[in-house]
Amino acid sequence: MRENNTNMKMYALGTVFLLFFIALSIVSLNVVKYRLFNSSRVMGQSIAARFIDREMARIHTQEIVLKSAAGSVYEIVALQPPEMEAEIKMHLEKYTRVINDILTIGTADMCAVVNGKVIGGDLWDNTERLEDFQWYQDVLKKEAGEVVYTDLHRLGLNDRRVLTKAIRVENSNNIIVLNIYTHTVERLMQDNVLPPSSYYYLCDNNGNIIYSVGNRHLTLDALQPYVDHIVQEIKAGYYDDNASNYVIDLEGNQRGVYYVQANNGWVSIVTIPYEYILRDYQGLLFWYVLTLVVFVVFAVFMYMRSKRMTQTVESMNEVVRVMGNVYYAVYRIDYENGTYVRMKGSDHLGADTPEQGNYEDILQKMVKYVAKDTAEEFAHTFSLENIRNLVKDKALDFGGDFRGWYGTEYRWVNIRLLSDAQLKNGEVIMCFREVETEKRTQLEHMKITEDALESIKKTTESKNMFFSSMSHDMRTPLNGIIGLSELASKHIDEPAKVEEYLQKINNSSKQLLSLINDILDMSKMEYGKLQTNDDPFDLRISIEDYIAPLELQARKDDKDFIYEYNVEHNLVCGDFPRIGQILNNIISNAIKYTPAGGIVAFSVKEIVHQGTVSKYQFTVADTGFGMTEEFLQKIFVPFERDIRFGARKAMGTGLGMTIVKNLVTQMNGSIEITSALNKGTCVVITLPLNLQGECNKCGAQCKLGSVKARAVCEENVDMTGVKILVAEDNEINMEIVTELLTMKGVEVIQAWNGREAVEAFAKSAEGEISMILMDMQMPELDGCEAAQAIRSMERADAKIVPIIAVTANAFAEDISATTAAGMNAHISKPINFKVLEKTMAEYIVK
Amino acid sequence: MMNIWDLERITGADVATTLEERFMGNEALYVRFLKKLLADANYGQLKEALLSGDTKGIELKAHTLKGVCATLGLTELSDKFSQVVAMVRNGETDDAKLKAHIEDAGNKLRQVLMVIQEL
Repeated sequence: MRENNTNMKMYALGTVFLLFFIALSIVSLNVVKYRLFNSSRVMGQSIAARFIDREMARIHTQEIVLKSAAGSVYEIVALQPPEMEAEIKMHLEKYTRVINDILTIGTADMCAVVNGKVIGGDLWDNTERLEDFQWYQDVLKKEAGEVVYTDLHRLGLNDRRVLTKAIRVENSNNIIVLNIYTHTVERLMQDNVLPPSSYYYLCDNNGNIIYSVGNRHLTLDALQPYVDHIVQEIKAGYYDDNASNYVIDLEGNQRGVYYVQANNGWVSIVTIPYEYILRDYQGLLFWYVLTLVVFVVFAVFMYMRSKRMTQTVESMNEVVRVMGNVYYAVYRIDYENGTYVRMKGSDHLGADTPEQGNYEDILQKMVKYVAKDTAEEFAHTFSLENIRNLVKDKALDFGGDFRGWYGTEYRWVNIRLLSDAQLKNGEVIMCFREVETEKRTQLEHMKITEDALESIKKTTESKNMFFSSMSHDMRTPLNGIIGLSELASKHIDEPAKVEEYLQKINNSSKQLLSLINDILDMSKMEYGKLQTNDDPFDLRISIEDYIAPLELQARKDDKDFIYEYNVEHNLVCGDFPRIGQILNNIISNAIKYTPAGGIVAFSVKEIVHQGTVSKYQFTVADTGFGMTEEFLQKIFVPFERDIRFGARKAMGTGLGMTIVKNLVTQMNGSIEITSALNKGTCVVITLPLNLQGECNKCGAQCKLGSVKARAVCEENVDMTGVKILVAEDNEINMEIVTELLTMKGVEVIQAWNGREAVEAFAKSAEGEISMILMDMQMPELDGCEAAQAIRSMERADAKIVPIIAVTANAFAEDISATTAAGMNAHISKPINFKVLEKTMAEYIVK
Repeated sequence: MMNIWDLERITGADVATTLEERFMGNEALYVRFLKKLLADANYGQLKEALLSGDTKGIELKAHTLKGVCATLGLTELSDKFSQVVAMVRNGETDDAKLKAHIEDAGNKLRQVLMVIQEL
């Protein structure tokens, strides 16, 4: 607004100047014009005077000539010559010539009246009677030698303008008459010049034109009305009033009128055209107007330019204002004198801070609003001394973020200190901007980056740890293999020892193999290459086969294992070995982390059946140690192990849960884990499985298919060279077991009753027997008694050799009896060989 | 010639399960053990014990037969011997009734053995 006002004032001032200039010019021009008119009047009057003087002189000459002519006529009349009339006429003609020689205004014609007779006078037709003329009467009354003048009058048939002068000849009534026929004068005498286009008129007392100079080929009669008008105005004094008064001539031009009145009443008039009078004035006016136009054009140009510049400045100002609005407070600081001026932001430091003042005061106020931890640094950074140093170091844009108090909370504020060559020397601009949101985002991003880095670091660390523990785990069986093979080669002659070493080498190799398998699975998963098969299988059979050894292990560790199965569609397609791997992992973990006396419950449910797909839910719940919330969150992270249990023997590769998660995901399933410390863990796995379509109706064929599939998967179990003690009194059963186990490469030691079983174990070398299969109902000693006897033996393997009960009736009391007798697990009778094989595999590998 | 599925059809034996669970799908092995039943002396010994009134012997032999039959998938037969064992254990040693049960089991056994002989 201030700029606008200034502009308005400037324009008003400019206009006033312009008007003043114009007014001054008009006054000046009028003065000039007035002067011109005045000088032109002087000139015109002098010309008129000159003309009339000349005319008077001419009249005087004519008087002399007239007197001479009168003398000559007197002498001629006195002499009375015979040819008197001719002589007079000749004389008159001589005098007429004299007059005409000097007369430029008309034509002179002389005649004489001698004895009443007119002699000469060629131009006068004598139609009028002499007595009728006033001048005739007058001249007769006058003294001889006295000239009578007439005003202009008309004479003759042509009614011509004529001036008559008459004189009486001495001692007679004879008269000499001089008629001058006036007309317009074309050419002037050299010394009597008129200004260009100027006209001259000589009028008599009555205003009749005697003659005119410089007329426009008009007759005097034609001019008479115009001149009458002028004379009338002269008589009215119109031309005396004002030098600039004018008359409009016949052509319509303005003319100045100047006159002089002679003694005889004649008026000498000069008219000079304004055009001529004001010729210099016109030039002046032209230059003046030109200058004015140039000036106005220049002024307009300047105005436009200034307006455009103002617009540019205004738009720049808007930009600056908008940019300025980003900052809630702006200060201009004179660091040389230690003062400040606040440009913006009146109340951010409280309402009572003055607009300007001592910088140190305001700095102290600012510091109060800065968070405590940065206050000191703030005070130092923005001290006058430091500002001086910053400017000296040419820090043009300096600043940072701090947390400022906003009445109720701290918010991030960005402060900038700007110095610029455009600023006055010794000044900087300090501005504040709230950057809470930006800062927060920035901090969040930083946190994310840090987290990502941290997680990469952790992954690398755990990978390194994993590899070092892995290499340690791999080195142990490898060292075993090397040491044992060396031992074997030393005892090459003792087959029993060699066999024992080879057995141990075999065990170590298997351990190594499982480790490597895990790692391979893991790396396959990492590259997404793990494939799952889609083979048909019976879910119930597969599950029950699979969990049998796990159940045995649970019982061996004195943990209760509860199993529930509630599925309608058993025949499904999928990759059971992988499902088994999952269940094995989860269940063996549950067993591992459940203390003796605890419970592990496993249930399978078909929760959704839809068309050809069913969803199965596998739940493994235990009453074990549980997991911390912290660990639960990273349970699927590779290499993570809950170190609280680090002291326990059961240590996996740290890949189990990762593999499980990956497998479940790959089978389009889900896994959920809930856990409470010291209360237990519950793992729920949901897997969709395709049903075997038509298979449900086809009975035996399907069972065969299922058998085939299972046979394929169970070929893996390798029990070559394992020695098992089988206690069984039934001959056929014994034969079947022996036959099948032998086919698997197992060496069977037969015992036909409990006593024989105890004896056979006692006879065996320590660690020779890998497992005992104990029938419950036997003569001599039953299964429980025999198991107790074996467990109570004083030898290293007596306590750890796995003893599996084979029982016909799976009543709870029977099972608890086997547990009480120190047996590890039980299988039902008649023996399902698959279950037996699993159980054996479980216990023998372990 | 008959095959093992005829055994299931004629005698109600649980051939499929037995073959799968106990003989690993090995039909020849299954047949070999079924044939052992032809030469088995247990039923003769059970009859002897019945005649001599040796209840302990009856229980033992019936139990053995029960187990063997179960192993070979001869479910019905196994159940019959199981009943005998239960009767003896419950003290129901009434001559006629026990004898009738044992004879009934023997008849079934003979029927089964006839099929086995043809395998």
